[in-house]
Amino acid sequence: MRVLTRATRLFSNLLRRDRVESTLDAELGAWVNALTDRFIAAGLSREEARRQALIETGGIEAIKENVRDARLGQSIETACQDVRHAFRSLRRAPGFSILIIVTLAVGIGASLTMFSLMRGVLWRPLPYPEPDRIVTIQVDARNVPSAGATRQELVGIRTSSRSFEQVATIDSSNATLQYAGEMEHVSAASVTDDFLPLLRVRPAIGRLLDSRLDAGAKHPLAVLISGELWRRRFAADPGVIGRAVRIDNIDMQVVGVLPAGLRLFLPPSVNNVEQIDVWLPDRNDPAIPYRGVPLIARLRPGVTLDHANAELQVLAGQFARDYPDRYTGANAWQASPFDRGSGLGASFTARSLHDDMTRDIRPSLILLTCAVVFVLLIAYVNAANLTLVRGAMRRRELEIRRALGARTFRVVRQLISESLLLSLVSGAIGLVGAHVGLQAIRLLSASYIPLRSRMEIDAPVAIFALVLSALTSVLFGLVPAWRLASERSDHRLRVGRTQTMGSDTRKIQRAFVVAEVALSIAPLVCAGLMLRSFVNLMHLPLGFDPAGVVTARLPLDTTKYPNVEQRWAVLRNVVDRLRVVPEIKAVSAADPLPLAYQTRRRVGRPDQPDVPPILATQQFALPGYLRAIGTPLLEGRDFSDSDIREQRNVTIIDAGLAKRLWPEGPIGRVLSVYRTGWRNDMEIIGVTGNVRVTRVRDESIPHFMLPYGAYPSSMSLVVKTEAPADRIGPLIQSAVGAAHSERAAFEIRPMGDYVSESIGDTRFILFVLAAFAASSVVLAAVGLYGTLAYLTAQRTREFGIRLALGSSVKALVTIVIREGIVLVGAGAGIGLIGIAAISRGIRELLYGVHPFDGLTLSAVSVLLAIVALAAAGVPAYRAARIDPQTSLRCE
Amino acid sequence: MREPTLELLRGTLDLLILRTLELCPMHGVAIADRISQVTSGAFQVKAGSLFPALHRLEQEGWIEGQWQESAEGHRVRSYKLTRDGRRQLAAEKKTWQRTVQAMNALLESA
Repeated sequence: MRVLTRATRLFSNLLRRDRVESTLDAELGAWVNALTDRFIAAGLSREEARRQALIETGGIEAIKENVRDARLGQSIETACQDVRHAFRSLRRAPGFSILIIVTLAVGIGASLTMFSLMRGVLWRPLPYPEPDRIVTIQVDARNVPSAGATRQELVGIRTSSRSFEQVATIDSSNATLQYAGEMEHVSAASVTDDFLPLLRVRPAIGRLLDSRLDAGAKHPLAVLISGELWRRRFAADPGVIGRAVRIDNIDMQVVGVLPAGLRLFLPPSVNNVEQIDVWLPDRNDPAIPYRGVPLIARLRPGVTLDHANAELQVLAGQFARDYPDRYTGANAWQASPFDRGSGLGASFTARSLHDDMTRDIRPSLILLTCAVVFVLLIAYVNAANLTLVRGAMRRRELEIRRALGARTFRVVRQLISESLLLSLVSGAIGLVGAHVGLQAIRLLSASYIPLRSRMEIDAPVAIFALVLSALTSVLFGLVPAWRLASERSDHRLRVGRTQTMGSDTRKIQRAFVVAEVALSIAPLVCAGLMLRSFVNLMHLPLGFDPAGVVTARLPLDTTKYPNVEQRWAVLRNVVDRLRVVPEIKAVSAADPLPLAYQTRRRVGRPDQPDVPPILATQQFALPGYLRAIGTPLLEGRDFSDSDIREQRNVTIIDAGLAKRLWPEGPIGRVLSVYRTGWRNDMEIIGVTGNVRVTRVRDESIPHFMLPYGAYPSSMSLVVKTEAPADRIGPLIQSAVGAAHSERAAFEIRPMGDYVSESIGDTRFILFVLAAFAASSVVLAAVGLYGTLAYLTAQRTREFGIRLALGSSVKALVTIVIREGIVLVGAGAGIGLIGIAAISRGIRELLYGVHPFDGLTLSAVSVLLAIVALAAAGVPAYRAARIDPQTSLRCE
Repeated sequence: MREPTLELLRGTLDLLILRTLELCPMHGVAIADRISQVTSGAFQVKAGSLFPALHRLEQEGWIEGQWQESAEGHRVRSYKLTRDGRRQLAAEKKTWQRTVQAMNALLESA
């Protein structure tokens, strides 16, 4: 029953507070009356008796407070009261409140943005069961890193390895789907049977791919469709199984529907499309010796990555022994004894899928996280500083409250409540800010961030926001509260005339400003360095001219046009149709486009077998490509139609390759292109200027071109024009339609897009850093301004005296400005030391600029000087306008 | 000359109040007077400590307050011991006696 009585009491305490309070009032009143009566009886006058009674009783309010503390549920009530009071007191100082909220919202918003980014990309497990067991296997073949596996290796690892449950591969592409008389361009992936089981994907309807059932020429090929496609094109019809569709002009039948919402997260080199519409069986023949097959595997339960890698190394040795001709034998690499001597033909490295996907972006994210910590710290210092100033101005209020009986604990609690309220409001605004920030990041770095679709403001982010806000309130609210608690208030109320702070408080304020400036240096310098890198990258000679170039992917139907001559005729037809359009200045085609995913080959001189081969990028092109893309032909000639018709073994190399292999002049020489198992010898017919095709920042990889031949199944049109891409798009489509109606051109985009995508990483870091740097410099400026303005206002009287004693206005202005400059200078000095610490982390992200770049450092210094002057300007102006008469009288 | 007032030990005020109310219900002033009287002025209970204590005991359910007319004709809040309160008083008495015994044993030990 005890519990029940306590509960009813708690209930009445909380809800019938007024009655409980009036009872207490009446009771105390009765006590005083009784004492008064006693004093009257002792012979005092009524008034004197009452006075004595009150003295005897002591502070009524303090007693009431103590009684309240004894009540049940008092803590809840006090908290509510604190919040109400905090709200009122903050509303009374809207300027201060808004400033603090904005300051903290910037800091918290930036932190939340980075937190969501880190969580989405690095921390959130991939959305497959037991994602830690999914690995990618990188295959390095001789000098080519990430060359990809051969089919034979895929089968070999699958059958011989004990570490992996599944070893699968995927080839993602695009396909044209024909169903019910409508054509649609869809994303497609050819996968081995075990690919979807590896991800633990189960079909929503029907079954997964199974080559045993799908084999045999009698049956049409099996295809799986995504839940999304099923809803869009098949009206979510459960009877879709067994229905015939045409994909890339091949009759297939739907055998299963995958669950909607299935997303594919793989390294960008394997696949960059998260949602696949049609899943086709992998049709490639294991006998094909080409490399380039990506391997994805699932570790058996309990097998560690180290164990798997050890086993892979053994397997690599075994492959080399079993197939000496493929790996180490003389037949495989006749042209290059270097290869024969290099031991193992291929090496395999298993890596967790998630690690593999995020390996490239990790350093940038860590740098940005460091930067955001700086922003957050500045925001804290700024908020603490502002609260300190306000605390000084509120001293009287707080002291009156203490004199009336509020205990220090209660007052400190009140202050913490205020800062908690401010932090929570800032946290909420920060959450909205982070949402906007993430949108901006998604928009800006369209393809650069892996797993970008997994960044979102979800429950863990909201919880983090809450925790961060609470932590914030403690950090910035504690300093002023601690200062208040640590000082004795006895006499101040009586002195009470001025509200100046003690000199140590002023020292703390100055230290805060110095800290803010010092902290803002690092983001500023980093942003400056990234800006310089970005400008450097923008001005690099690409070796081609993306201006006015529109590109379009043009799939070629190998079923309809099985041989090269037919495909060449179609291509020629498209090019000829476009060439006559008046807006188009030049048109040709190539594969792959510069800065798209490149094929790398090892090349060398057939007459120098001992020289290690050089890694170079390979591109197929049509005649006229060089003119359309704007790459200068330095020597020799371009490809001709007859080169393609007659399938001549000719090549055009770039100046870098020419210089390394034939300093004496390459025209007419023979270039050997090595492939697994054989080599092709090509006659060099031309030399172009250097081109950057891998990435804008990579200049060291040379490039060679081959005439359009048997291999490429799709080409990219390259159109030089003055008209915008959206005007040219329909023209391209109609030309393609007229030439061969079965396939539509896709990915019609300006060449400039590829260029800006290639420097997307730098742009992304630059954008985020610039936002952080701007926030930190604004916050530091606000802190500096606030402090100087306050300190100047405090010295109004002193300045008045100085003026009265004959000081010039100029001298006063100098004092204020000098104070600003000294504070900023001290901060900048400390901040520059901090840069040394960061320089190591940022070095690899920079291009063409040293971490201690003089220009950047001086620009940052100038910027800070301007900020210091601007922030000191208003207080200086106020100091200049001080009228000695009023300033001396004003108190 | 009167002996100086004693400083109340922590927790003893509750015991004093409960013991005082054991005889009959009383209001605040009467309780303070009674304690002072019985202890010959050794313990002077002030409003500042009496009221919080009364409220605490009431919240615990050991005493119960009721508005009544006092002897002088004022409306006063008078408190009476509840059944729980009696039990509590017995328990505290025992504790106190043990404390006293222990203290004495210590002070009088050779």
